[in-house]
Amino acid sequence: METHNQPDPSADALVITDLHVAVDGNEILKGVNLTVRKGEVHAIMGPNGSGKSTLVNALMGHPRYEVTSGTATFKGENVLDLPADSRAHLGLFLAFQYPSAIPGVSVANFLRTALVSLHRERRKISDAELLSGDAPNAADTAATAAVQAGATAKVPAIKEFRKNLREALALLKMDESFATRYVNDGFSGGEKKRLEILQMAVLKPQLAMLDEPDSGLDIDAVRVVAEGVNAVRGPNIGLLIITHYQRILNYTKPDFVHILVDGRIVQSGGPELALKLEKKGYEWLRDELGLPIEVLAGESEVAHERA
Amino acid sequence: MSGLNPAPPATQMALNGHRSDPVAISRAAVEALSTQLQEPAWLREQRLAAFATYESLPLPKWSRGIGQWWTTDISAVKLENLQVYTAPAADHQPPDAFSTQEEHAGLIVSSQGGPLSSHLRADLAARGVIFTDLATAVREHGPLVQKYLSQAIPVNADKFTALNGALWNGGIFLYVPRGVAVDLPLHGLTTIGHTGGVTLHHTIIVAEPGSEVRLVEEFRSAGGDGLSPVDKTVQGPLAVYSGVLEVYLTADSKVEYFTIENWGPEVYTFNQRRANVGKNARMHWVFGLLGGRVNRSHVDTELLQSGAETQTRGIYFSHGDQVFDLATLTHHVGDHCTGDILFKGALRDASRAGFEGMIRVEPTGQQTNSYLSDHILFLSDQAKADSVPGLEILANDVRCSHGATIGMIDEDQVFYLMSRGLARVESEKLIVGGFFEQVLQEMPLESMRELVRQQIQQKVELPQRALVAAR
Repeated sequence: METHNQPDPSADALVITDLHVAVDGNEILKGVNLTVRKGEVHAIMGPNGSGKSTLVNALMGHPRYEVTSGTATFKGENVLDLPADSRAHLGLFLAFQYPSAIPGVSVANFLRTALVSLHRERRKISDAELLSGDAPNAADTAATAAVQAGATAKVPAIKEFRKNLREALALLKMDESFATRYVNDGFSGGEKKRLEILQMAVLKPQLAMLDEPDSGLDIDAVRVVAEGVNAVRGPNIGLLIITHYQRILNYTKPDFVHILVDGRIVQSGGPELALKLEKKGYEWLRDELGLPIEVLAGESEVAHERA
Repeated sequence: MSGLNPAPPATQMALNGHRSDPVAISRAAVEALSTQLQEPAWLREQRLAAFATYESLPLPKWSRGIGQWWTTDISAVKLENLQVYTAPAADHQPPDAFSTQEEHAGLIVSSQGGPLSSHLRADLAARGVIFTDLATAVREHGPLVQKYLSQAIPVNADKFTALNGALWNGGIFLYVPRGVAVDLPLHGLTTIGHTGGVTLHHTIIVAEPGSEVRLVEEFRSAGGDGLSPVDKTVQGPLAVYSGVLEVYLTADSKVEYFTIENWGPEVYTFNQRRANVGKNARMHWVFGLLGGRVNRSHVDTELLQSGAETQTRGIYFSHGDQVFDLATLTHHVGDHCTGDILFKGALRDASRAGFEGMIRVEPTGQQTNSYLSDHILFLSDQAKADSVPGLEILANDVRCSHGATIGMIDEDQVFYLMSRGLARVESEKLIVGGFFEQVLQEMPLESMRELVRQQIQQKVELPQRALVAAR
């Protein structure tokens, strides 16, 4: 068995252990183990239907995705017991592959409402931690302090909010008129993807999952999205990028690449793994690792490189 | 604010000079009322004839849907046990009434028994605008009233209309002379008290050629508002409001009529509204239906001559055990007329809504453009709705379309918003607010939009199945 994916004591990581998820009674994830720490960028690749979207939707708490066993903790808290909004308050974020349109609700109104909610709830969380003296350990003090600093800060004033929004729009090469358009209503595919990244830039999560942020985009749009991701990237955020293709990874270099096949991570590596996959295709996986894939995953002969 | 004249205390302002206890519905009551108001013979006869019609008609039965699977239940309304107020019985005015806070050109405040106060800006009165309660108008402008009263809506339309014809004691008479454009809205505020009983108001709007006017009517009650718990098992003093509205638009005139119905949970309300629209005239209707135990509303727009136009924008939002029952008719008689109706409704808890919209085009109605749509959003799987748009087209050169959508609130939308940190109720507030926004955007009065927005937000926030009486 793998040993490096044991629950991570550092409270600022997302730690997924033996996660099984079913959709409409069909098991899609069959035991996923993964740890994403602050400052790390992970990419998950895999063929269609392998369970990539299921993983991030289950982690964000979509009610259609039923967790049948396993755990997922973030900052030490079992997120699988929480409704989606509480997961967001903890710092999780999902950039949707197919974001919903909310007709009649402007982007600015939506983001402002979300920010107010996040600030209010994150403040409650940090207050509770302070009161209970529940800071997990000394190593985490810095992280806790950072959270508290963010949490106890006042909700940005309207003026500051508008400035942040304008900057985020500029970053993603979106016209300022986007702020007054209704959320995703009549947006092109590329506009939807950019709005997802814009939300990430404005809401400042601590662990962001990006579900195929590049799908359906031409190369220029991929670059814009990747630049947005790079602007958000930093020591205080963990990123988990789901992608079918290597090309976005040319602009956003991941620290780790994982290959998901039939509900399990069958191989993990550094950025070279994505290049190899791109060059040789998914057949290479089967040839190199042998068939059937279920056996391979069970044998767990997959090398996991860890920094 | 200039132009704002708060109504004086209730005790000072029974315009008709009488106060009386409510009376049972009877021929004697009709005679007594007519005597009390010193009415001319034609009106007395008209009232008595209406009473005979009332006695001859059954309670209406409004059925809906395939196989008439649902009938709007008004069995609790036992008219023989109810009493009618025939003089003002003022006891309550909502301090937050929209109409008293708005800048306006005139305001008439009424209780269940009739008018309490009346105001019209002097310059408009000097230009010949009449804006007064209907009984006063009969005294001061008898022949003019006679020309219009119950002409568009015959008293035999249904039992409530007949009762209204017999015993009306409130309502507004609004007359705008040729070429006069009233700049600010005129307001009517009707509030009924705790005591139940029957309130009967008849309103007439006459727009002479080239005139323009906007009337905003707000309806409230002391027993709560559109946010109060509504539960059919709670037995409060039942109140009935019957409203008859007749609008007469002559050539090139423009009338906008807004109604904000924010009744309490004890009120059964029955409205008959009709506009006769003349050549190149424009009738705009705006509905904000939020309150009441049962709200039945019939709106009939008669596009009688060439180039007549009508637009309707309406929202309804029901909760608890509320029942909203809407029927609209766009009747194209003239050629080159335009109709455009858009309703949006949301339903919570175990509430019900029925919508029946008809576009009828006569053989004379060539080059008609007419549209009708109704969109319903469910916030609960206990709620029920039936939406029936219909077309009857007898002309051969027209463009008509109708449509209806009904759906549950989209869980993917809710998840999307919750994933950004919004609680479920906050998510629903945004989604429902957005759902209504398209209609609100097209309502011409920003202050009314804002009022309805707030009410919608508060209504989403009500506790689930707020069925326990808090009165």
